[in-house]
Amino acid sequence: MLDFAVVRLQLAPSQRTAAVKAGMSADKGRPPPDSRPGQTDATAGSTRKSQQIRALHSPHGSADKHGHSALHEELVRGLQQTMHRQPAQGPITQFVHHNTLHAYMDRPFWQAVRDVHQGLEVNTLPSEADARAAWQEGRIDALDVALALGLPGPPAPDGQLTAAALRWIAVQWGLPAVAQERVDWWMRSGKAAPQLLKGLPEAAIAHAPDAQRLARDLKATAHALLQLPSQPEWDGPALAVAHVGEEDRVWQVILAAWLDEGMAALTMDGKARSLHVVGARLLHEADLWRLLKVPRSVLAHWEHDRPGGLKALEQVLQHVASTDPLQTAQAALLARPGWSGQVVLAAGRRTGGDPEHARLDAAAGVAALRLALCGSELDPAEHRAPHAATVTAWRLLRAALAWGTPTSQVAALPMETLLALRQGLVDLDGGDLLCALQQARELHHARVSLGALAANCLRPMEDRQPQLPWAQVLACIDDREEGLRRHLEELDGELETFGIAGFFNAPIAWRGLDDATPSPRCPVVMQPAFAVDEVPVLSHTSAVVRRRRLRGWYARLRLGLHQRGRGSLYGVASLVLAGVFDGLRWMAAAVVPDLATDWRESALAALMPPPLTTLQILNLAGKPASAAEGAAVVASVLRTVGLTERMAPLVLLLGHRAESANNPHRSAYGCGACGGSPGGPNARLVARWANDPEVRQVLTGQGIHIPDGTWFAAAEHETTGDVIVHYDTAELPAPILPLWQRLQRTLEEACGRSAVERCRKFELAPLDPLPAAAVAHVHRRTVDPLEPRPELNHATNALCVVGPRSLTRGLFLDRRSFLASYDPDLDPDGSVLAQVLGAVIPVAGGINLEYFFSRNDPAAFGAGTKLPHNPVAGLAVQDGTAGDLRTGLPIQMTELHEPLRLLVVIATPADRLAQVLRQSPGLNQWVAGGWIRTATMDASTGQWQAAADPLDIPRHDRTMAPDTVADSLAWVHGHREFRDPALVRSAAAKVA
Amino acid sequence: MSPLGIPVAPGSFSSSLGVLLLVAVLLPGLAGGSVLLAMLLGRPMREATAVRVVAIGSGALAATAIVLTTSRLLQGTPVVVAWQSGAGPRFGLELDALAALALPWAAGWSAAVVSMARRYLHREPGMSRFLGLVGIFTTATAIVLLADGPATLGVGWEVMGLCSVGLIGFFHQRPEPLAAAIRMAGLNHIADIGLLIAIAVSSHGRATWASLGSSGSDSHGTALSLGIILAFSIKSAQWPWSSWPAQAMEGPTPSSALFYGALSIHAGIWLLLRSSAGLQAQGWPLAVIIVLGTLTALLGGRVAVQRADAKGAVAWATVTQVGWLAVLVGCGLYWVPAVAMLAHSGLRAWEILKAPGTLHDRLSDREALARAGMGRGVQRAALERFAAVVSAAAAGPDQRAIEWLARTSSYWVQASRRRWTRSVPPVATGHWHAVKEEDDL
Repeated sequence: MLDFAVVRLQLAPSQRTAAVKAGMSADKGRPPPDSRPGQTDATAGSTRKSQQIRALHSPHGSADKHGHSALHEELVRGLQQTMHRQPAQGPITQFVHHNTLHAYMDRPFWQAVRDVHQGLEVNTLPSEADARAAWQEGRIDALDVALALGLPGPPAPDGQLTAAALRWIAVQWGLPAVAQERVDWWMRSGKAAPQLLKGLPEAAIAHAPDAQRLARDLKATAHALLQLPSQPEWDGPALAVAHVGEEDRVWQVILAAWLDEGMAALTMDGKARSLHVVGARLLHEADLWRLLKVPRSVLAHWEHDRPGGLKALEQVLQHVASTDPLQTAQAALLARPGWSGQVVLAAGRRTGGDPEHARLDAAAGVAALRLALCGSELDPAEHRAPHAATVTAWRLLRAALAWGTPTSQVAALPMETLLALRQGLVDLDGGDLLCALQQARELHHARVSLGALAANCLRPMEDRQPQLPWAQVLACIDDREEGLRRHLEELDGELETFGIAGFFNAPIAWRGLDDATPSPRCPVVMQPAFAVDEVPVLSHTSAVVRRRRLRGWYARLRLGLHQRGRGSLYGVASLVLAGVFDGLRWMAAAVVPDLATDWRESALAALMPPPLTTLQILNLAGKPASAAEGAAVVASVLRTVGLTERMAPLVLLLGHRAESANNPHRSAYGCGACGGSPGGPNARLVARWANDPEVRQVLTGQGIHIPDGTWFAAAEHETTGDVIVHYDTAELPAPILPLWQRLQRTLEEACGRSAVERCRKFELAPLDPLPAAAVAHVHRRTVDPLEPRPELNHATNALCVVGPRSLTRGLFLDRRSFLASYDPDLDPDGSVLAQVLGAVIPVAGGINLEYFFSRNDPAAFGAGTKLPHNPVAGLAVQDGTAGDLRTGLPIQMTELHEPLRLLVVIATPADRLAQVLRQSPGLNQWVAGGWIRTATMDASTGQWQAAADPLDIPRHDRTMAPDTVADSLAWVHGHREFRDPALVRSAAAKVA
Repeated sequence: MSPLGIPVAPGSFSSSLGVLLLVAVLLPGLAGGSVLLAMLLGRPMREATAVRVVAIGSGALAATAIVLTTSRLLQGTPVVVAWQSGAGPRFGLELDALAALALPWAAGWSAAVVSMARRYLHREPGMSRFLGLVGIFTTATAIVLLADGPATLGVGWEVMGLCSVGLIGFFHQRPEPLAAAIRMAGLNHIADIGLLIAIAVSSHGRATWASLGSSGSDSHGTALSLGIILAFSIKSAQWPWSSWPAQAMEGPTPSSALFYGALSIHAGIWLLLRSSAGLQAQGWPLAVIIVLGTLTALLGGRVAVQRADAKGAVAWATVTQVGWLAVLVGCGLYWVPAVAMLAHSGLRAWEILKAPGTLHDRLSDREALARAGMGRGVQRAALERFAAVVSAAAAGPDQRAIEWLARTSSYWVQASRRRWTRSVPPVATGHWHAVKEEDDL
C-alpha cells in the first residue's frame, strides 16, 4: 500500500546496484537529493509535494508524433505501473496490516527505502532528530554505531580526515548541512566557534582555535573547494499537486456517491457503469458544466456513448495542455491517491469479468474525470543545486575539529582527498547517515534481545517447562498475548502456554447469532473452507426470534433518525425527543463515559438475554463437515504447536478480539490472522471438534492420541478491556469442572496483572494502579466514544520468536514479541516449519512494517491524526470533508512505536530454514531482502547465526546480559518508558 | 406590551444576581484567554493544567446558569445587568425565560467538550489553541444568549465567528482546512454587515429586543429586517448559503460538534427569535423567512440523504432542520421552535461526535434489519409507502419542483461562488433510490 506514486521509473533494475551493503550508498555517480529523510514536517498532511511522480522519460518520444495507438499502449503501461503503487488497502472495516512498500519488495529493504525516499521525498526512515532522541534514551550507543558501520569498535580520532571518518563523525556527533545564510550570519556575529563546536567532545572544544582563525580557515577551505570541479545540478522529482477548490470537491462527491456501500440513505443507480460515465451524468444533471476544463461535448459523449476509461482518458488528454500526456495522466491518478485507489479497488471487486481489466479501466476513468474537472496537476520537476562551498567548508571544519585535525590544514588537503570528502558528505545526505543510525538502533535491539534469549536458554530446562501441566493454553501469536501468557505462567508454574496463529488453522466463514452476512475468519490470503453458523439450541429458538425482531426495530429506528429520515418530515418530527435524550447522553459520555454505556448494555442484556447456542458446520460442498475434516484441522493445530503428547487434562483454546467504541479503525485492532475480526469462533469450533469422540477416533488413527480425560475448552480474550469470555460452559464435563474453575480464576488474575502492566504505557492512566483500578481503567477505554486510543495494539512490536515456549518462558518481553510455538524436534523434514513461517512472517512482518512506515511518515504513509477523520462511503476515512482518503495507521496508533524491523528468531537448524526458504520464494523475499531481520537459534545451547544479512545480527560477544527480577510487575513498577527483557525469577521458582 | 412575553425592565440596570451572572459569563473566556496567552508567551500550560483551567471556567458558568435558572423559575424576576453611557449604545445581559432554558444547555455542552478534550485531544500539539478558542467561544455564546438587545448580541456574534474560523483552520498544515477557514471568514463578514445595519437602525444600538418593534420609521424597520435576515441566513446556513457547514467540518470532531451541530449554527435562529418583535411589526419579513426556510429544507434534505460521508451528511441534515425551524419562527411561533432548537442541537452534536463510528453503526443496522427479515417484504413495503407519502408531502406535489430548486441554487452559488462560496455538491435528483438491503448483502 503506497500512498502515492511512481518511483524512479527511469532506473531500470539492471542499472541499480542490488543488495548494497546496508548503509553504504551505491549510487555514487548520481547527484544528491537536497533533502534527507526526516526533513519534512511529520504532522503535515497530504499537501503539495506529498504525491509525486518521478520524471518518466518515455523512450518513444511524445505522443503527438506517434498518434493514438502509441499513446494508448504507453498509457496502459504507465497506468499499470502507477496502479501497482497506489494504496492497496481495502475497506477499513476489514483492516489488513501489510507492508506499506509492498510494491518495492522486488529489491532489498535498504535499497527500497532509499529509492522511495529519493523518488518521492517522503520519510522512509526515522529522522536524524528521532534517532538522536533514541540515543539520549540509551536505545543506541557508540558500539552499536561502530557495528553498524562495520567497525570492530568506536574508532579513536587520529587526525586523518577520510570519508569513513566523516561517516563516523556524522553519526556520532552530527554534521548538519546548515543554510549558507546561517553560516554567514554566525561568522559575522562572532558565533561561529560555539556553533561549530556544539555537541562535540570536551577534548575537541579544548583544542579549538579562536574565532578569527576559524573564520580564516573557513574562508580558505571554501576557496579550496571552489577550485574543485563543480558538482552537477539536477532536477528533483516531478510532483502531482492536488488542486484544492470546488472542482476537487465535486470530483470527491461524485466518487463518494459511486463508491458508497451503504452510508447514504439514497444510493445512486448506475453504479455498475464506469465512474466517468456516471460522473458525466451527474455533472450534467447538476448543471456544473462551467467547472469543466474540457469541452462540454466530451462529457456529453461519455454520458451517451459510454466509452471505456482509456478512451475517455485519451480524449481528455487532447484537451488538457501538457508536454507529457502520460505523466499528466499519472499525476491525475496520484493527486488524490486515496480516492483514486479506492475507485480502482472497488472496480476490481465489483466486476463480473476480468478484475485486472476492470481496474485498469477504472484507473483511466478516474484520471479522465479528474483531468476534465481539475485540469493538469503535474508540477514540473524543481531544479536543485548542490550545497554552496561555504556550507561544505563549514561541515568539513566541524569534522576536523571533532577529529583533531588542525583546521588550517583542511584547505591544504590534496584535491583527491577534498573530492572524496565532498562526496562523502553527499553520500551521507543521500541516506547513508539515516541508514547507519537505523542499523545502529536495530543492532542495539538485537544485542539486547538475543542476549536475553541466550541467557534464558542456559537456565535449567525444569525451570522452563512444567513436567506435568494441569492445563495448557493455546493463544494467538499476537504480541499482545505475550503479556497474558507470561502472567499466567508466573501465577501458576504448572500451567503451560502455546502460541499459534489466531485462526487456529480453521479457515471459516462465520455467521454469528446476530449476523446476516458471513464474514471470513482466516488470513486474507486464504479462502474459507467451512461455513459455520451460530444457531440457538432448540429451547431458545423463540427467544432468538424475539431478539432479532427487537434488534431489527431498533436498527430501523436508528436508520430513520440518523440516515433515511433526514430528508423527510419523519426525521424532523422524531427529533425532539431523541434530541433531548442524545444531548444528555453526550454530556454523560463526556464526564462518565463508561457509566452511560454500561447502563445501556445491562438494559439490553435484561431485555434480550444471550441465548444458548451451538454451531452448525458446513463444508465447501454444503454438507455437514465430517469427522475426518475436523480431525485434519485439529491435527494441524496440535502438530504446529508440538502438542501431540503430554496433553494436560484441560486444554484451552483462546482466541482474541478488541472492543472499542466510535472507532473507524476498529478492525485494525482485531486478530490479524482472522482478517481483523474476532478469533473466538475459530477457537470454539476447533475445541468442539477436538472434543468430538469421532474426531478423536480419526486422530488416533493418525497417531495423535488425545487422552479420554482431556477436555478442550474455548474462550476469547478481549484485549482492550482485558476480559475473557468463555464458550460452551454448559457442556463442561463434571470431572473437569474444578480444573476449569481454577483456570478461570488464574486467567482473571492474569488479566488484572496484564491491565496493570498496560497502564504504564497510557499517559492518562495511573502508574502502578491496583489490579481492580487497572481493569476499570482499561474497561473505560473499550466503551468511551471519545477515546482515540482504546489500546496501543501492536505498537512497539519488534521481535518474533518461532520455537518452543521453553525458549522464552520466564523472560519478560514487554508485550513486544510475537510468539509462535514450534518444536524443531518433531519436524525433521521442515514441513511444519514451512507452514508456521508461511503464516507468521507475512502476518507479523506486515504488521511490523505497516507500523514502521506509518510512524516514520504519518502524512505520506500513515493516516495522520484521528481527530478530523470522517468516514466515507463505508470504505475509508477522510480528513474533514475535503481531504484525501487516508490509508495506513493514524498517529494515535503509532506514536509510541519504536521503528525497528522485526527480528525473527527461529529455533531450527540453519539448513532446515534454508531449505524452507528455497521452496518458498515469497518467504525468501522477506528474509533475503532484509524486510525482516532473521536469525536461527539452537534452543539447547542458545547459539545463533544470521540467516541473511550478517550486519543485522550481532555476534555473541557483543550482546548484553539481561537483568534478573522477582516478577514482571516488579520490573515495570514505576516505569513508563521501554523496559529491556529480563529473566523473571518467580516463574522459575514456581515450576521448581 | 411585548410580543415576546418578556417583562421589560427599563432603568433597572443591575440586580445583585446580575453581577454574578456577568462574572460567570466572563469566566470561560478569561480561562481560555489565559491558556492562549500562555501559549503566545512561549510558555504553554501543561495539558492537564490547561484542561483544568478551562473546565473550571466553563463548569462555573454551567453551574451558575443552573443556579440562576432555578432561582429565576422560583422567583420569576429576570436577572439583569446593563450598561449605557449617555447617547452611546446600550449593552446588557438579561436572563429571561428563554435564556434561562438555553444557557444551562449551552454552558453544559461547552464544559462537556472541554472535559472530553482531555481524552480526545490528548497529546495533540494544538491543544492550547483548541481550549483557548473553545473557552472564548463559550463566553461569546453566553453573551449571544443573554444579550438584551442587538448591540450586545453583536459583540458575542462577532467573537463566535472568529473562534469558528480559528477552529476550522485548526489543522493548518493542510491546504483544505485553510481554504475552508478563509471562506468562512468571508461569509462571517457578510453576515456581520447585516447585523451592523440592524444595530445601527435600532435606535443607534440603544434598543432592547422588546423595543425593536416600536421605535423608528418604516425605512428603519425595512433596513432592520433586511439586515437581520441577511445575518440569520448566513449564520444558520439558509439558502443560498447552505453549503458552508459541510465544508466547515475540518477541525477536530468535538469542535465541529459544538459549533456546527449544537451552538453556532443555531445563532441565526436565535437572532430571529430575539428580534421577532421587530420582524412581526413589519410582517413581510416573516414571509421571506418562511420562503428561505422552505427552500433550504427541501434542498438540504435532498442532499442529506445523498451524501456518502458521515460528517457531510450530518451537516446537510442540520441545515435541513434549521430550515424547518426558520419556517416555524416565520409562522409566528416562539416556544415551539425554541424548544425544538435545543433538542435539535443535542441530536446533531451527538451525531457529529459519533460520526467516526458511523461505518460500523450502519453495518450493524443493516445486518440487524436483514437478520430480522425486515429488509424485504410486507412491512418494508408498507414503510416505504408511508415514507414516500411523507416525503411527497415535504417535497410538494411535483418532484420536478425540487429539481428546479436544486438547479437554481446551483446557479445562484455559481454567481456568488467567485467571491465567497466555493462549492455546491452536485445535487442530482433522478436516478437515486433507497438503499436496498439485498444489494448490500
